[in-house]
Formats: sequence, structure tokens, C-alpha cells
Amino acid sequence: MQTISFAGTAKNTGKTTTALHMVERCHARGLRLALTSIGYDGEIKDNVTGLPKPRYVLQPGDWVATAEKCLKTGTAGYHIHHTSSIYTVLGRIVFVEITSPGLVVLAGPNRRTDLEQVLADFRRIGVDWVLVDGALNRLAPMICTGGLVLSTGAAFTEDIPTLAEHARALCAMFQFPLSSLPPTAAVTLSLPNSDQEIKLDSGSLLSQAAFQALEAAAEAAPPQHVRIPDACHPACLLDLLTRKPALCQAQWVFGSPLKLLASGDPRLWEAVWARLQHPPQYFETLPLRCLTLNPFYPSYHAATWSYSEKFLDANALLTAVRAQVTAVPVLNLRQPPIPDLLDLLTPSCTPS
Amino acid sequence: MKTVLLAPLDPVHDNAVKLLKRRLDEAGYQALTMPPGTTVEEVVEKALAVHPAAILVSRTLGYKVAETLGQLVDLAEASGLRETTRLGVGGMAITKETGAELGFDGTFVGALNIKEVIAFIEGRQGVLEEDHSAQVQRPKPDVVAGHTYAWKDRKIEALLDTITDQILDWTKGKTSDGIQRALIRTEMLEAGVAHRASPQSPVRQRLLEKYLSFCDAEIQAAYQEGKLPSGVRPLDQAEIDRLPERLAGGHFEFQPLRHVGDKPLFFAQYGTGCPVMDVVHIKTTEAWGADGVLHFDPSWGAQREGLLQGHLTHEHDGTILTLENLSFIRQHMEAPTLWNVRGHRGLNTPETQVLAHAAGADLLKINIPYGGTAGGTDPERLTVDGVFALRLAAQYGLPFDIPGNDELSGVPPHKTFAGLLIMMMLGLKLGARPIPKPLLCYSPHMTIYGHMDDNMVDMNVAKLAVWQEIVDTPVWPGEPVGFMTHTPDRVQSAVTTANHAALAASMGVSAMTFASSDEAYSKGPISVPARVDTLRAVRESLRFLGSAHFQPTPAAQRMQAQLHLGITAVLEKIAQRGDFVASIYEGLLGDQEDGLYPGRTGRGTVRAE
Ligand code: B12
Repeated sequence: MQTISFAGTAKNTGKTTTALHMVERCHARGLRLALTSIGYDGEIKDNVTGLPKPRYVLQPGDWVATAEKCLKTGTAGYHIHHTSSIYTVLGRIVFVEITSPGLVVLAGPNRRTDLEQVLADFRRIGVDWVLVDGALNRLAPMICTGGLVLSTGAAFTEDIPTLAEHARALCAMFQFPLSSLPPTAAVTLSLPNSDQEIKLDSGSLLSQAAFQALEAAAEAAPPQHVRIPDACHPACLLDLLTRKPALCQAQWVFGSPLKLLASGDPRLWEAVWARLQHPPQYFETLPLRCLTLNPFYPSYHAATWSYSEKFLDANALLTAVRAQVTAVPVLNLRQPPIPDLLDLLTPSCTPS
Repeated sequence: MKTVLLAPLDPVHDNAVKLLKRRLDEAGYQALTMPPGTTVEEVVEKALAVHPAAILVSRTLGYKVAETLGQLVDLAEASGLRETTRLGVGGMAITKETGAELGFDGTFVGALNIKEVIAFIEGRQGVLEEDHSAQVQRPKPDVVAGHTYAWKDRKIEALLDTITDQILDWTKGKTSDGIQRALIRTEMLEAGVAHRASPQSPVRQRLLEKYLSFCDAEIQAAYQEGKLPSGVRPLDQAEIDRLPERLAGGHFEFQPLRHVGDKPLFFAQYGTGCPVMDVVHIKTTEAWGADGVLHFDPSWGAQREGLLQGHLTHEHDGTILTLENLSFIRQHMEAPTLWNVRGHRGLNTPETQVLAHAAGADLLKINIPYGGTAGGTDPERLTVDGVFALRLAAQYGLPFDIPGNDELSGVPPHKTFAGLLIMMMLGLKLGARPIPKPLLCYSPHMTIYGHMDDNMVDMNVAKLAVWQEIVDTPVWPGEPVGFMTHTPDRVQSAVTTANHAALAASMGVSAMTFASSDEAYSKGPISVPARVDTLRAVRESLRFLGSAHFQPTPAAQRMQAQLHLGITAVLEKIAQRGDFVASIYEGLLGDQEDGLYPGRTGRGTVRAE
């Protein structure tokens, strides 16, 4: 079983369109497909812009894990296979097999542990691919999937250079290796040439006070390794590294790229990486498989209080982003020749 | 003691957070609050320090909701909080869908429901939604509970004693086709052959033939030739089958209209003509917090000897009384909903009580003086049938209510109330539990004589307070309260009903009935939204009132004293006359000048047993 998750840098960057492309490719190859979402995907129109939103049309034989209350909202026929013990705001998560074609509304597990359970159930059911739709800019639970597809575009910013720089910083987050050090629960400093470790109170560094505690701990001797298993505020870290350049010598190990993205803007992290002597490492990571671009953005008309569809120059966008992002394929799924995402992702999206 | 972290993720609005803190502190939690303008990082940092069971955030402003709240959820996941701490969100800017999209464990929409919040903190989420047993455990309320029927006015008690002795004496050995039909219906029910769908056994055949021999030709034709009265047709099976689908998806949690205490109980009327539509109205009424409903039948039903059978729908106002219709309607009610079937005015009064009881009614409705006047049944016939019906109420152990709607014809309240008192004493003597229903209305009498020109409070207060001087009885103003103050304006209509409801509640009544906001002028069946108007308006006025009280003014006290004197005088005349039926014919309980004429249907149909 392969799993892939989809996330966007903002609303309307083409996350669902990308996932739908995968749905279509899987159908064309006759693969057994399953879908779930860590958010809610069902509105016919965007809540803010009133513009139509892409929706999931599934075929008999497809599988879905979604909240009970979403089942009635869709138009697809379905058969309930089993009901899980996972609760969401919209009721328990149920596993259904689609029996007649139609729309489905997705609202699935929203925590990592729940998503893991859903993936385990799909493995037992025996599907070929599980597609996990993301929610807005939320990423953290996706760490348990076999790979990630990110979508960005004009809806994030209409300024192409900014968009490209953001994309570069974002993609760079996924290029760092795993650490061979054992994971810790708390922020841990290891002193050079000794077994001595200093542990802080929590696994995260979010406040000024937490960074002061780190600074105090590093006062005696500059650490060899600093391990931060959970969240970390990039601006505070940058500030600390500027004030204490000795800390830049250490090997920094973080929980995962997704935890860092939840903590702050990738461009801030890029600035942090620029200061470090050694590239950072992670306890956990997942491969970024591809970046998709969407030139669409909603344009507001004050006179009529309405939005309309606008597009950036697709070629200019693609060229600018490709110039910045070289480690992963950068695609526009609407631009001929239409690339085949399934080809690109096969065979290696097996979850860790 | 569990810790709960409360944070407004909003630049200023934090009143909900402060309210939540008080309610959670009272419930035994340690609720820690953060100030408005707190950042997502600060919330997570604080949570990492205090290890709360739950973080509850509140968001009022409608912009940037998704970005701000989504960031909290992701950061909580990244910092490992989500395995130990539940994330909840509420506030004006939040919908269930946003909550799901943002990945919260709980979303609280609308006004604060602290039970729901506590269930969430305790990890019993979903329990509230799935636990239908909580609903089943709600006991059926009792309208008459707490009253002894002890007479406080000895003079009135003695007069009533004389009058009712005469009635009971006079009805001895008399019967009617209506009573015969009630007896046959009872026999059919006992033999299990009362339903249309019952197997065609010789017993059913024999009893049905006997039954029809006491019916009008029109009713006979319906049974024998399947020819239904005009405007009536059988309900389509598909219409019945589709009902569960129409009702599906609703989530029922009973929220009484009362803000304090467990009385008064609130009743609404239904009778759209179509039993399926009635069920929709009843479900709405229940969902918006009423305690009970009253079934209204077509007015022509009272003028025919005999009742129809089967699932029948009627083009015009009023839902046809059949065992099938009644059972169907009851089957779709919540078990604790109180149910009253009107049947007090017509030729089928005893039989209606039999069917209503068989279908599961909780209350019966009988009033001889009202039913025996104003286009109703002949007083002689209704006295015989009414006494029989009271015996049934006693036998079934069901309370019966006595509507005082004679006032609508122009009768002054003291005459109407004298009639209600006679019915009370009669019921008590036969072992039944009566509930008088003084009408809170802007009646023709009040309009013509100007008693309510200045205000609508004094007279209504007097009409409720006078009962407390006479007898310890439950009082149930109806039917509906505020009658004749309503206009076609739905807002006006809901407000006047709500005002009357608050006044009656403040006077300590046991129950009351109210109309939908389009009931007086619907020009056809009333609509569901109009029903909701009144329920909402009444809830609001009770919230406004709480356990505060209206205090009778000197003017109200004068009116009350006059009313009391008037009642006594009427009863004296009737006792003196020594003949209750003759008293009605002669207008002692309301005469032609008052606008009251004796009923004529069923004249000359009383015979010896
Ligand atoms: C009081 C108030 C203020 C006060 C706030 C004081 C304070 N310390 O909170 C002041 C005057 C400061 C204020 C300012 C503003 N306000 Co103001 N304010 C209100 C007002 C009148 C009442 C809100 C309130 O306190 N209600 C009482 C609380 C207890 O109820 P509640 O918040 O509705 O919460 C209930 C439920 O939702 C639930 N609940 C809420 N949160 C949660 C969380 C959980 C976990 C749970 C279980 C339940 C729950 O429980 C509560 C009880 O039932 C509303 C209008 C209104 N009538 O609602 C406007 C309103 C909220 N304000 C509004 C606005 C626009 C502003 C301003 C931006 C105006 C301006 N242009 O300057 C400014 C803010 C400026 C800024 N810095 O950003 C708008 C919001 C519109 C929108 N959709 O975004 C409103 C709706 C008024 C309007 N119609 O325009 N405001």
C-alpha cells in the first residue's frame, strides 16, 4: 500500500485539484484507491470568495474514511464497512466502499495518531493507494504518510519572486537527513567530550523564557548537539544564534520538517540554516515528492463586492519557481503536456 | 482537579472566555484564562507548562479565522500536545465545518452549553449525541401534581354540590347513540378488532354492524361503500413511508421553554388536516421546547353521529379522528410529550375519549356548558354524553381539562367560570381530576364594555387570581393565551402571546396553551415557521421574567372581587333553578344578549337506557 498526502501553502493553491488528478490517474490504471482528509472538503463554493471549488467524484470500488455526518451530504452511493472509534466534530469516522458514482464529502482524522489508525485500517482492507487530503496550511499529522505533494500558487501571493523564494525555502526543509542520535522527549544539549546532557522542561522552544533557559544551559560550554524534538520558534532561534555565534557550531537536530513548518515561516528557517555550520538533522522526515503550481487567484471587485477568477502568466511562474527549486519536480498539472503524477510517484510511497 | 486553559484567539473579545471560566470553576475545574491578543505560541507554551486536559479557544471576529486557528492546531500537534490535551473552539465566528476543517477535537456552535463542554473535557464527546437514554429518562410531566382540590370557598362548594347532585340524578337511566358507540368501540378494542386492518372475523363483523346502526348515513356510506365525505381521502402508503426520511438527521435534545422551575407546562395545538404534516408540526413543537400538544379535529366531525376509520387526510383545517390517525400521530411523538385529544363539543364526545385513550392520550377534554352552546351540541344530549365521558376519564385515570372558550362568543368571565366550576365538581364527584382553563383573551365582552381599554394585565391577573380564592386547583389558561389580541403581523402575534405567557407564568399556572403566530389569520393550515415564532418568543419572555413576579394592582383586586361575586351569583341562580340543562337553555351560563345560543345538533336524541 502506498500513501501520499497533499497540502497547500494557502487556500486555492490547487491542493484538491492535485489530489483529483491522482484520483483520475488511479481510476485509469484500475488501482484500488482510498481517500481521507485531515480537514474538511465539501463546500460547493468557497466560503470567502463564493467561487466554485473542485470536489471529489468517486467511482464504485473506491474507499473513503470520513465522518458520519459527511456521508449524507455527498451523492455517491456507499456501503459502510466499519465504524472506527475515532471521533471528529462531525461524528465518528466510518470506512465506506463506494457503490455508485457521485460526490463525496471528506472530513477525516485530524491528529497523527488517528491518521495512523486510519492508514492501518486501509492496509487491512487492502487498497493500493491512500490519498490524504490536507487542510489549509496544516501539515503536522501528515508525517506518518509515505510522501508529500505540496501545492503553491498565485493564491498564496501574486508576486512571482516572493512566491518562488517561499517555494525554495519550503522545499529545502525536506532535503535534510535523519539523525543517528536517539530521540529525546525534552530539549536536550549534549556537551562535547563527555556523556553529560542537559535537559530542559519541555520538548518545545516557543517563548522568550524557553530560549533564555536554553541560553543559560549553553553558558558553561558550547554544546556539541542540540536536540529539539517538538516545536521551535524560528525567529527566536535566529535571534539566539545571532547573539551567541558559538551555538552555530553545534549539530542541531529537530523533530521533523513538518513540526518546523508548524512553528514558523520556511523563509525564517532558511535564514537559520544559513547560520548553522552543519546542515540540520531530523528524528523523522518524509519525502517531498513534488511541487505543483497554480497560477489562479481570486480577484476582489470592491464595486460589486464579488470575486472573479484571475491568472498569473503560467509560463513565467513555472520558469521562476523551477529556477529556485531544483531538488523536486515542479509541475503545472493544467498545462499541456499534462504530466502524470502517478508515474512520478510510483513506486516508492510506502509509509515508514 | 482538572486544568482547562481558556484563550480568546481574538484581539479584544474575551467576555465568553470570562463566562466560561466562571462556569468551569463552578463545575470544579481549574480554569486558567489568557488575555485577548494572546498569540498561538503563547497558548501552546502555556499549555506545555500547565498540562491542561483541554484548551478551549474563543474566536469572535470573522476574518483570518482559519489561519489563526489552524496554526494553533498544527503547533499543538508539533509540540506533542494533542496526545494529552483536547482542543476545543467556540464563538460567533465558528461553524462545525470550520472546526472540522481546522482539525479541532470539539467545536461549540451557538450559545454556551456547559454540559456539552464538560462532556468534551471529560472525553465523553459523542456520548451526549448518542445517548438517547437521557431522553427516555425524562419523566412525563404531571399537570395536576401539587394540588389537592380542597375547596376554600365553602359557599361555592355547597352550591356546586347541589347543582351536580341534580345533574347526576337527572342523567341516571339516560343514554344516547354516542354512548352506545363508545361502548361498542370499547368492546372492539378489548376483542382486538378495532383497527381497520384487523382481520375480518365474525366478531368484528358483528360489532361493526352494530356500531354502524348508531351512525349517520354519511358515516355508514364510508364504511360500507368506501365513500368518504368531501375533502377527505385515504393517506397514500408512500406518504406514510416517506415520513422517517423527512424526520431523519434531526438531533433532538429537549430544552424546556422554562428558564426556572418545572411549571408551567406549555402546549401547542395542531390539526393541519394531514396526519403526516401534523407529525412534522409536533416534532417542531417538541424540538423548540413545548411539553405537550392538543389534537384538533374538523369542526364538522362533531356534527356527525359516528367516527370514520383508517389513515385519512382532510383538505381543510382539523385532522380527522380515527384510531389509525391517532395511533400514527402518537407513535411519532417523544414519549414524555403530553397529548390531549379534543372531543368535548360534539356528538362523538364519549367515543373520542375511548379512541384517544386507546391511542395513548394523557389528557381528555370535556366541557358541557361550552360544548352545549355556540353552534355546539344540544345541552341535553351533551350533558348525558359529558357525564359518561367524565366517568371514562375517571376509569382511565386521566385528568381532563375544561376549556373556557365560551368567552369568545361574548360571555363575561364570571358566567364562563361558573360553568368551569360545575364541570370541576362533577368530575371530582365521579373520581376524575379536572383542570379549568380560564381564557386569557381580549374577548368581545372586554372590548364592548372597555374593561381592557387601559391595559391587558389587570383583568387577566384577576381571572387567574380568583381561582386561588375558590379552590386549590391546577389552572391552565388557554386556549390559546392572548386570543383576540393577535393580528396578521407575525411579530406582533408572537410578542402578544409571549406577554400573556409571561403574565400567566408569573401567576403560578400549571400549564398554558399558545397559538402559532399565524394561527388567527393563516387563511389555511398554519405554517411551521410561525409555530417556531411563538415558541421562541415565549422562551425569551420567560428568560426575561425568571422567577420575578407581577403584583396585582388595586384595580386587578377590584376586578377579582367582582368576578368572585359574579361567579357566586350565577351558581346561586342555577342551584335555585334546580335544573342544569334548563339553566343552559335559559341562558343562566350565558344568554342571547351575551351572544350565546344553545347548541342544536343532536336535539331529541337522548333516550332511556
Ligand atoms: C462586547 C463587544 C465588544 C467589546 C469587547 C469587550 C471584551 N472584553 O470582550 C469591544 C467594545 C472592545 C469591541 C470591539 C470591537 N468589536 Co465587538 N462586539 C461586542 C459585542 C457587542 C458583544 C460580544 C460579547 O461580549 N458577547 C457576550 C459573550 C458572552 O457572548 P459570545 O461572545 O457571543 O459567546 C457566546 C457563545 O458564542 C459561546 N462561546 C463563545 N466562545 C466560546 C468558546 C467555547 C470554547 C465555548 C464552549 C463557547 C463559546 O459562549 C458565549 C455564551 O453563549 C458584539 C455584538 C454582539 N451583540 O454579539 C460585537 C462584535 C463581536 N464586535 C465586532 C467588531 C467588528 C468589533 C471591532 C472590530 C469594531 C471596530 N471596527 O473597531 C472592535 C475590535 C477592535 C479590534 N481591536 O480588533 C463585530 C464582529 C463582526 C464579525 N463577524 O467579525 C460584532 C459582531 C458587532 C457587529 N455586528 O459588528 N466589541
